[in-house]
Amino acid sequence: MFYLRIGVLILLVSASLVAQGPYPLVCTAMAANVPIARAEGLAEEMGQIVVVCSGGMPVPNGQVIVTSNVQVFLNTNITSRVIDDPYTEALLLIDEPGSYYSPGPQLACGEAETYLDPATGTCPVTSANGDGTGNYSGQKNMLLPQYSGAGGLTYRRPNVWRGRCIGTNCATSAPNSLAWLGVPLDPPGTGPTRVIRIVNIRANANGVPTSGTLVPSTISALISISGAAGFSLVNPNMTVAIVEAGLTWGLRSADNSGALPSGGLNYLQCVPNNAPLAMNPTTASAPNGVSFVLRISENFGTAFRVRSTQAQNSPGMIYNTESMFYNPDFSADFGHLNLAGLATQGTRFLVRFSGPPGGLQVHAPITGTWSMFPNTGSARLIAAGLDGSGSDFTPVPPSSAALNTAYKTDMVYVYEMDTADPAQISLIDLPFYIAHTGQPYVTPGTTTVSVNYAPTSIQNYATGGWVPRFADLGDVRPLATLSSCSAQPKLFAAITSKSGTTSARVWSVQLTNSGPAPANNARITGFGLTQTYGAACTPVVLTPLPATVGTIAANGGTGSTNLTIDFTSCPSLARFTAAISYAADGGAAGTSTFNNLFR
Amino acid sequence: MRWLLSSLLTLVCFAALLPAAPLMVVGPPGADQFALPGGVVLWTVDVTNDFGYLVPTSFNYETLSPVGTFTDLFTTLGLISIGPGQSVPGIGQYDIDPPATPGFVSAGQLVLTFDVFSRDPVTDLLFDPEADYLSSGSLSAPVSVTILSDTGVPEPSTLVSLGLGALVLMLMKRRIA
Repeated sequence: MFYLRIGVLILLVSASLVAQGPYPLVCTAMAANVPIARAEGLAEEMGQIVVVCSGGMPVPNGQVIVTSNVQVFLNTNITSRVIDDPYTEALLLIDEPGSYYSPGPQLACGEAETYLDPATGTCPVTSANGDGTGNYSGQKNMLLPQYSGAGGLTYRRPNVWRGRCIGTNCATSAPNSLAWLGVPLDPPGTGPTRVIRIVNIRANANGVPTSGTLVPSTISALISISGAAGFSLVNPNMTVAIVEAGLTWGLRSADNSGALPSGGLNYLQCVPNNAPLAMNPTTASAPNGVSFVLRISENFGTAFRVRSTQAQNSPGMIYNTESMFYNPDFSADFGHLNLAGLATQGTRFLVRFSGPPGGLQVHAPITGTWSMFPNTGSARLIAAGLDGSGSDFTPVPPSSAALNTAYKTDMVYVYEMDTADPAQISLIDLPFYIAHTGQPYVTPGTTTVSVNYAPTSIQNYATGGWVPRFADLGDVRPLATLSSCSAQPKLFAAITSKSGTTSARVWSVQLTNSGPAPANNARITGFGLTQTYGAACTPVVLTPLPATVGTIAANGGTGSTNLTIDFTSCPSLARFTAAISYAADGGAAGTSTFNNLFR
Repeated sequence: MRWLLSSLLTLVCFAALLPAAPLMVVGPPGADQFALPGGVVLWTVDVTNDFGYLVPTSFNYETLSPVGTFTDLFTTLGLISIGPGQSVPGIGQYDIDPPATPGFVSAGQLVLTFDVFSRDPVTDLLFDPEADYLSSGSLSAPVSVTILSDTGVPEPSTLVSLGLGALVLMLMKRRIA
């Protein structure tokens, strides 16, 4: 009897415990990853938000699951691409579809064979098994007799929902928030946890105030889940990105050995530089060589990325490309879902040279080379708009195949990464050629350069525009100054007399200064004889060079010096061509050639 | 008076014996020319010599406002000797830079340098370049080239029309006369 009473007591206690019901529904929010967002970016990738739910009472088998509204707020504008206004590329996935643990197809609400309720614009989902499992399988096994027009039909179970702006269109909505309305969230009960993953949130990192300390600025997200089902939400506030400047650039010497002076390079109007290239961009001749090297450096490993048009739809995977969670198998017909997460271009750099019309030409390299680090990537000159926009990766063919350069009269050059390694801090070196003919119609003035991520934009809100896109930081620096030669001397040479013996023949060389300024420190810098007639011989120039002429007055002044040559080895009738080179301070320099010269 | 006339006669005779300076004259189509960007200008010169044997050694276009590249087609073609009383033509080619600005005027001078010998270096077998050397010098002549715009050049059909018009006018004038 005693044991009977004990047994009944145990049964009663057990029954009372069961009557308390299942565990309460508790959801915990967290950032799945915290990427570094480029401070220059207007549409930067944010970390994925994951909400893990457990407990609660699953909806009985066959009943429609109650829905909740999920809303995300950031402390800056959300700039996810608008693909079907007011719907954006931001997506909410339930139970990690397409993953190892849930290998079914990814199916968005509204796609073919899902039931999109025209009254609410949402997709009702019924409980598949009554235990919280199978509800979001993507399979075609759902009867919806409760809905008008749906009776007797079997539908597929969606597992992806599109995020939308709050208003009727994104242009008039709160810019820092996206919502997923009418999402059926079935409490998992004692079964596997329910996982909600929010992907493809882009944000305006440029709108976050830069940090004044060593601790970088951050972008925070606040998530709200509200609806018929009551539950606790733990950690609704989280950091989804760290903001850092992504790009550093500088001008370096032609041999890439160090930085250029802050004022840049200096050229004279009357002294040509790479003149053949200035007259003909297709030439192989650039006698003055590379003028400077532009170095573009990334400040963290993922600051430079390729675009990627491959599928990137494994939940939880980080791809480190400009594209985000991207499933090309999503429907193109329903809200352009196949564009969700797809970047419009890889990381681009807009290199813009500005100078006076008719001034210096800057010829750009077709490819950028990596230096200092293993060759892990490259950038390619591409055809793009003046703001760096354009969705196609169209390489610009070289103007000069030999020099591997191109020349555009607007001197706006856009490069796009075609390979990149997120595990490397990369530098890209671009060797440029400055060219001008040395003629007076080359306009004097200063040419400047600016480098920016591209495309540049002022759209810091959600639009259907380019992703990523960047603010123009207006970092313009002097590159080169072309100075007028109007006050320069201008020299030419003549041989005015010959005297002396064969072994010490003296040629008097006269320099004439036809320029408007005196020629100071005029001198003969070179003297070469090429035999054109007679038995071969080798005349010896006895005068050491340079031979000083001195100061020559402007506007027709002359000055002379003697060059002594030993013609002992030469026959009497030997003839020569002489090249006499000369120079003076202030940039006057040249060579005069004389033919049919006897000794 | 007789003394004065005698002196004048002596001076005239002496002057007649003095060597005259060589002369360079720009020939057709003239010193001042016009060209399109990327076009070509040809300058011709006639060099006349009155004393010794003149050997041209260089021919250049010297200017403060260059607009192209000059090619010497005079002294680079071989040894030329211009004897007393002889005249020899020379030519220089000026290739205008393709980016030259229409309206731009390049003005300067053609400069010819030369050596003068007492014997003909081309034909005289006794020629000795040291013993027969007399002097060196240069000649110059002002020239210019003005850059035209594409629209400033008459089309061939326009020229044909102008020619036909001129022909008609001449015929009419002849008929009226």
